[in-house]
Amino acid sequence: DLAEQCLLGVPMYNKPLVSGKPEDLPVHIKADHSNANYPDNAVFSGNVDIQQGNSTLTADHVQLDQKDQPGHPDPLRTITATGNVNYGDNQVQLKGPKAWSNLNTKDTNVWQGDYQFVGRQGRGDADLMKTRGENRYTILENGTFTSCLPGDNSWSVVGSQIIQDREEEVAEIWNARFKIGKVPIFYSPYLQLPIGDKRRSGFLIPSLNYSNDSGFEFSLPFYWNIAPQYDATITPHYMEDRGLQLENEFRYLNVTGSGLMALDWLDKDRHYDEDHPNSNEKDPKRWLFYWRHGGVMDQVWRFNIDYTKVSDPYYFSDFSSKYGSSTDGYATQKFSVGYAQENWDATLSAKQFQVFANAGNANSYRAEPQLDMNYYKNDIGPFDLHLYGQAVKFTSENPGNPTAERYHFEPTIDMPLSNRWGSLNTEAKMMATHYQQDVPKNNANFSSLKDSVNRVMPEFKVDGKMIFDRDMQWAQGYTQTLEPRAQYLYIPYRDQSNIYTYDSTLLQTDYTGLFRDRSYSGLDRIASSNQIASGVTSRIYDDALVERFNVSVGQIYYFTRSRTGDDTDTIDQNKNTGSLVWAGDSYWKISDSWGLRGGMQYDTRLDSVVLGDAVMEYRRNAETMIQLNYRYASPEYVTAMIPAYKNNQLYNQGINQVGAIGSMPVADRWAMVAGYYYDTNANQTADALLGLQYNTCCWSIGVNYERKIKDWDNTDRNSKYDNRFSIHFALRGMSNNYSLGTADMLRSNILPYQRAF
Amino acid sequence: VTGDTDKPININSIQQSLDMQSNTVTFTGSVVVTQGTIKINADKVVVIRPSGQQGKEVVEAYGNPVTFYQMQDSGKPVSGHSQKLRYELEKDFVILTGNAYLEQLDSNVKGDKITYLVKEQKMEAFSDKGSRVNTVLIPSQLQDKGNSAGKSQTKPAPQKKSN
Amino acid sequence: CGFHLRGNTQVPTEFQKITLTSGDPYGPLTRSIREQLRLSDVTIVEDNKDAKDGQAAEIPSLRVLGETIGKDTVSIFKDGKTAEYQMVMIVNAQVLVRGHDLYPLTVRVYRSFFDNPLTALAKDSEQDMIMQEMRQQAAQQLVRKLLSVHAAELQNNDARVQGQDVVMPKVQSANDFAPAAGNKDAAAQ
Repeated sequence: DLAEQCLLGVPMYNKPLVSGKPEDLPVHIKADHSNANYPDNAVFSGNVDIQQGNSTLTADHVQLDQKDQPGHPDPLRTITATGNVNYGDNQVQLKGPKAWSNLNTKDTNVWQGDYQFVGRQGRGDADLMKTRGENRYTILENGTFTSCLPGDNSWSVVGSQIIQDREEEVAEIWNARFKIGKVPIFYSPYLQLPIGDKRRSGFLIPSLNYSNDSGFEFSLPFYWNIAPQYDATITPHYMEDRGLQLENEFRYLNVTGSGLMALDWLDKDRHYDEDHPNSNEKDPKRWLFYWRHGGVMDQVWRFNIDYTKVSDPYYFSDFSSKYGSSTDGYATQKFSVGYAQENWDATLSAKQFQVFANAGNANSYRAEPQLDMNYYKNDIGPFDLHLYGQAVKFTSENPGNPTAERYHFEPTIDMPLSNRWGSLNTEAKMMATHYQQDVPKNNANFSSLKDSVNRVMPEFKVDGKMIFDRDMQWAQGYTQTLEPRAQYLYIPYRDQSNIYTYDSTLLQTDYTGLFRDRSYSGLDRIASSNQIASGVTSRIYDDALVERFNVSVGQIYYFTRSRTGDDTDTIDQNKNTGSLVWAGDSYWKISDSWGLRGGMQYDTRLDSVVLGDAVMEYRRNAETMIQLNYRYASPEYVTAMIPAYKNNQLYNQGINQVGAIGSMPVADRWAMVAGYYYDTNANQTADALLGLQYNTCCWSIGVNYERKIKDWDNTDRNSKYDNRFSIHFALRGMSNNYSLGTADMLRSNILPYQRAF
Repeated sequence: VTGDTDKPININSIQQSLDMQSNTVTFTGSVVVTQGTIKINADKVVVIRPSGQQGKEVVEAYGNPVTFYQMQDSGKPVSGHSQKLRYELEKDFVILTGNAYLEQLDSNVKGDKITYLVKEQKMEAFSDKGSRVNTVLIPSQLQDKGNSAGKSQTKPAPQKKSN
Repeated sequence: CGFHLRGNTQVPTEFQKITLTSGDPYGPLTRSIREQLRLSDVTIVEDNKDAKDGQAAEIPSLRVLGETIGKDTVSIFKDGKTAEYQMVMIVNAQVLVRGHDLYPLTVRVYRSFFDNPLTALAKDSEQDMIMQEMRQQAAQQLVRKLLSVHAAELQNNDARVQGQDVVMPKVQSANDFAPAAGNKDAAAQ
């Protein structure tokens, strides 16, 4: 494949590696003739061959000088070689007419020569080449660098001085000129370039895009390796219709974990008023701030930050950014710090959201601060105890909305019994919640809310499952299991219409959801339950006991109506009982390269198949795959789930989307990607993607085309499309990643590819 | 060391034969030649004293191999061996021929022919067509273990710090 | 129809006692795995505290390497905004059978949910709830995969007895090792 072809042009070091400091290694010199006046110097002539440790130097003529070093047992030995000098070791090979080398430190200079990395791509020439730091650094005076194989001069970087640090895998170039063939393309007084994938994979080089709302775009990244734990990438991004945006990304690693901060800044967006005529701003500033951090310190402290803030709600649909997509409905701004021990943990967090839908942002709720505490004590006799406590303050962007403080305490006692073929878990729980609500008086639809509300609800649950298995007759060595499961749940009814919904929304009941004890997220709505959820799963294991197939079907039988007293919720208002909700899912790994997965939910309260999805994938390797997927959500379900969309023609048709995405390499050099998603309700394309990339050993050029729905046009009531055509040129060969670029292209559209199995 | 060549030469062997006319003495049978710190072991040694003058003797030694040892002023001994050894006392000039090998504590040389001016410590190594001169420089911490090939017979005097 | 109480799909005898190590021992993932192991009647031996001297040596160890969570849009409304997100959680672990082999395990859990920008805070708490359930599902899958390690061990023992070289067991398919397509916000732990 491409990797083998490229590595053919690269010297390999196949002698056994010798370790030890150079001055401790004997030097073996072979020559036709030697002439020494001991101990000061010696002259060797006639294809001289000097070996020391892993390094070898050959030349026509070599002079060895030896000077005693005060206080050091070994004399300082240096050699000067002339006449087609050839130096090589396990890292680099240097060729040139003249060379000098210090045998004690392996520092070597070669004049007017060229060099080539060993074991990986990278070569060039220079007036003077110096290896220092026991071969860690290669320093070039007026040198060039390229990762192309000898004979291929597609691109090169020329610098008055180039320092290549093999440990940090970064090259620093002064007076850098980037050349395509012989033509210098751009100049920079100082440039850093990652040569290996320890820091950043690939040389960050310019990319060229065209889209119908930003025109021609050209971006030129500069990489800056500040310190081993910090690096930054500054990218001036010129957009023909908008102006010059400066994208700065800073990455760091410290004891609390690793993180990334980004600030993209466009001073004056000349295209803003054209995109958004009804807005009154003229050439406004457009900016994005992004901060992501994750880490665990000393195994107990846990830090997480997921913060995105943009200058205006249209930012992600006008700009293509790594930190958000045009499909995002809101930007998450969450901070959390936690402390976890073996049997207790506490997490303090603050959550707020910048909602892009113009009506939405005004009403979005914040949870600042929120404290969650857990205490676990297992094996108190047959029981396990779990205490959960929460204190949270809800505020809203809209001062006219109610705010609240909620204090919740939830002790749970479990009695888990399990053996070889089954388990039975009995659970009793008490949920005590106190609300201190600040309700605006003059608003009619808050009239049922009360300032201080106490809600105490017990819960009782019994969950049992058994596992049967048998050898399958028609498939030798295969085993099939039958796993029935049943759970009875009882929660008394409490009228919660006097509590506003801050963090509660109706949950989806897929097969796993059937056995939940909650039908709403958060704590503001706990539905009454007197129901049995039952289901059966069957799995098939192959002769190597690898699970190849499973199917699960389950239902919930309601003895009494499940409700919360909230009259705005259609599901809650429904009065019938019996077996109302059905759900099933299935997974079939036909072979290592064929897989099938699907799920379906049926809800009699909405008398329709509520949700359905299916995906089938063939994947031979990372570059060759095809996936067909289908997603369905009934209109009744979408409006039940999201009441605000009830009469909004944009949403209340539900989801009916069929899609296909595939990729295929051609002749080890080309990668082709195509994806198409079709909305069968609205009979229109949802998203279309076409990608093509040509790769050689040291550069690649790719073309991407995406047609996607960007927005909804209220006046003529149809979807607004965006066509984005981009060319990306990339240098390759610096790291040992020889993929053809398929993975990146498959994830470049708004419905990115996700492996199905 | 300096002054070796002014010292008397004594040679002992199993047999000796003297040829007054050509001023040559031939020693055969485990011959040991010593002069100051110089020591030569060989199977056969011929000493020629051109025109009878003391101090201009030429020692030609043959052996399988002939071994040569001499202590230097620097305290580092020089030793070597070869098929044939010619030692011209007057010029302190040693010529080893036939897979010749010469060694100091920190380096050794192998070749078809090695010439060695003891006083100036100038050494030259030659290789016939097709063969090579091999020199090995030995780092100090390997020297004490003395693992280099062709260690000279006598244990070198304890190595005093060189400077 | 031939079904009988669980036979060869139960947790193999050599894994009835197991030590559990993790880079983040008190994190939610390791806690779910610990809980699932208990629910599958597996006793977790603390590294060396209560194991009698030699005994800890033969007990196999399950090492949790970490979880990666990706969230991608899988369907959109007519205004181009996300209708459904799909989360995929990939948990990597290793089973070390003392003195024998190291078996890599990768489990993958998929869950999707509807997005609603108007109730972002509620959707966020739904997402947290779903992630917790995904950890339990991943833990259950890990326990089930101990079976395939057991089968591979048997196969390798026979191979060792007949002097053939030990072949990588069918625990993982080649594809499973291909790195997951770069997830949008992989919070690797």
